[in-house]
Amino acid sequence: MGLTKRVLNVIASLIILALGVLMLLDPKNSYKLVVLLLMITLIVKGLRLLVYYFKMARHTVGGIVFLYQGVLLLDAGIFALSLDNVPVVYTMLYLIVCMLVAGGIDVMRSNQARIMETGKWKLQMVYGAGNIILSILGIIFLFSGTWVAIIYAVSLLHSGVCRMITAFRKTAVVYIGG
Amino acid sequence: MQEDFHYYATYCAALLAGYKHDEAMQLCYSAQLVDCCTQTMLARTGGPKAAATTQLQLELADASTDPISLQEMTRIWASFHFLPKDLYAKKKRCSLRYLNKYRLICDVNSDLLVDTVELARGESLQAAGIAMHVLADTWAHRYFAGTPSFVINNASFFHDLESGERIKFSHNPRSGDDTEKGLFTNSVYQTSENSIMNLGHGRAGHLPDYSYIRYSFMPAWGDFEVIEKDNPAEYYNAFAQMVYAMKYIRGEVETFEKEVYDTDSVEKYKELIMEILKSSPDKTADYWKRFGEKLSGREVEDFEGRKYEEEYMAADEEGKSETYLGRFFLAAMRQKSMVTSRIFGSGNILAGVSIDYDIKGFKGIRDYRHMVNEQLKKIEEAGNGIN
Repeated sequence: MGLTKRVLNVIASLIILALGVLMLLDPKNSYKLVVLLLMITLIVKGLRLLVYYFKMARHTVGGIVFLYQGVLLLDAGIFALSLDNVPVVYTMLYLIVCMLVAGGIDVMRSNQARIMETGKWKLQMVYGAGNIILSILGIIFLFSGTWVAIIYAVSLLHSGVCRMITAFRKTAVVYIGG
Repeated sequence: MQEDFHYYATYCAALLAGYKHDEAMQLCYSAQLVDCCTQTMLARTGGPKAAATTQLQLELADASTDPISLQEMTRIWASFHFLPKDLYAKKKRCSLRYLNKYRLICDVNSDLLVDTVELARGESLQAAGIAMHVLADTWAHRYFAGTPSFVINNASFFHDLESGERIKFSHNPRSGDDTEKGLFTNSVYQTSENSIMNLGHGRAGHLPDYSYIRYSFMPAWGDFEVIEKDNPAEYYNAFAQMVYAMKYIRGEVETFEKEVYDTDSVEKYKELIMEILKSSPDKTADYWKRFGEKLSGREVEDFEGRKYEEEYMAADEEGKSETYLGRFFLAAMRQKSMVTSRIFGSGNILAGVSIDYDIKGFKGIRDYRHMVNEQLKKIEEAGNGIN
């Protein structure tokens, strides 16, 4: 991992940790901040995909998919931002499902790394398993209001800590015998 | 291409070009070493890191996709495995970012190939070996670029031209290819533009590396046109071009021109060569080896990756340049430096920045100082010779 990526990872993990603490302290109000960030993320991601399509992918076989993705994400972001009051349950469900999928992918990746004996799989396994457990808890407590926000806050703290550890890990080229 | 062609076939081509057995062995060893000279190997031997000619999967997995790391990757893969065809290629209504990647697509008979072969003329056997690796790879790796890029290197709709059936891929590197059943591995579909999954021919798996296969596919950059790849025929051309190029490097031919193949020397072996090329991948190395032994009447030893490492490590600083690996590292840095300079000269910074020593003196990566000093020494000696 290069220095730039390390610095970006540290910044991202600090933001995630701050959000986690905020949500723990004031679950009801800070939830709005999380939703706002989610909407902005959708818009930025949508715009990035559109720029990528027009600058690069429109010359590519199958590149049209980036146009559709970009338009959909941008539309979803703008639409959600324009709503005065997004029902908490739907937003939390969306966030929790995203977390569950990400956790599943991490577990599968770390398992693959373990099989291939690359030696770097434990942290990713912890990260993925943690996300899966927390998202299952989130789904169980989905309609409990405060509890679901607290669970999500814990998952944010978990994610922030894992990202921070990743940023400071040694990633030097390893010697391979034979 | 793999060991069968880079090592054994290069040995055969070197013999046909007029090299003696010992010279041919040294030359083909270098041609194969290009696939082994990684940062890990250089760290082990204490060689200059800038001499890396390839990257291990683990090194790639560890590499970041920031501009500096991407440039490092591009320098290695474009210089030794995916020599760009046309650094000034044009395509209508494209952004410069797209065009810079498009211009790195590898293909045969490029200006850079002429530069590569000319660079090796009058130089060490190691330099000739490296040039032969680069030349051979232009045939195998054509239509892919030596830089990570989804919009260039993604590929789809693979079909076996013999059976007409669709070629199936899996993504588990442990499962390996089953050429009998037509099951192959390739890199994972990743829409991230700079993902290492989109480096070179990863999306086509090892298909370009197998001499027997004939297949069709649709490259991401090709405006929906299907490309048919006839590997046996193309590998035959590669072999004949290697013979011609090595004759030029030895000084037997005055100029190296594009699209010239020494079919005269190769013609009488054509049937046998085509038979080898069309044979199953697990047998080709052995067949090439036997062909080489028939040509030279000598035993061709198997490739042993660490053969020259001890000699290099035991030599003192002054003497390292005279060792086998010392010469290989020097030739590798010269090739990398030349290609980077040409890419940068075309206004493309994907392989990094190149500095003209004559104008600005020495600046940049420290490892290259040794290469510059060696070149200056050579120029000085040549000057003294004239005087």
